[in-house]
Amino acid sequence: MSIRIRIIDPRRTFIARVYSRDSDLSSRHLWIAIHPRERDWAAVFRNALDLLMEISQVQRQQVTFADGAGHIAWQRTSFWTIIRLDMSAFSKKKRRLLAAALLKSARYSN
Amino acid sequence: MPKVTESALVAAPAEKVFQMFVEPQRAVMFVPGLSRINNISSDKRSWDFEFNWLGLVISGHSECTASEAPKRYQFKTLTGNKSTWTYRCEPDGANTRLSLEVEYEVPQQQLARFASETVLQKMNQNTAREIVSHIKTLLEP
Repeated sequence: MSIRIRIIDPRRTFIARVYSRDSDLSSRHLWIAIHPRERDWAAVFRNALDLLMEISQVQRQQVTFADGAGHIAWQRTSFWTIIRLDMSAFSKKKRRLLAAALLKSARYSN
Repeated sequence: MPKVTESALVAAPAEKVFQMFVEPQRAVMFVPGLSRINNISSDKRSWDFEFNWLGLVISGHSECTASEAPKRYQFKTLTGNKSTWTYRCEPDGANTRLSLEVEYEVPQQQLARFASETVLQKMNQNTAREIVSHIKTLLEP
């Protein structure tokens, strides 16, 4: 095992949380990802949802899950991507956990 | 070795709860601070892990030591601070009693960082509680 301080992780994608709103029935999150190399967001989110045991469907620049009650969409530019996550199913606690897991995947998956 | 335990009643069958453990990469979804699982062997019995807490990165190697579906799943971290993680699933009607037991070594050089063994114990207890709570949340509607 190794322990080290690493302020900058070259394999990590920098993602800023721009907006987050949780109501009793739905959640919305907006993130901006800055990435010098192109990322296959469909693969990233589909793999994450598979690990979360959620059946997902990839459409053009978005992945839907929870029978359409959840969707994560992205809008790509040259150096950054705007990612929007909307969920109108599950408990508030579960929506928060799913959002955190999807954000973690976006940051750390290859 | 010191150990911490946590348990919760999960509204899901034991087979479904057990599925959370058999895919090593899935742990990233419910273990706080765990950022990556890499180099998974073809039989899914060993893998490398990486934790990241605000730039402090801890990486190492793990091996599964027991996988008795759908009752018990155990793995050990083999490098550095050795620890043994055991998940147990006991059917309780239509639900499952999920428990997690973590046994861990307390290395003296790290002890100084955490100030005291009691603090480390509390941190591990909180982590185990979060893990069990996250699994329950993910498996319930």
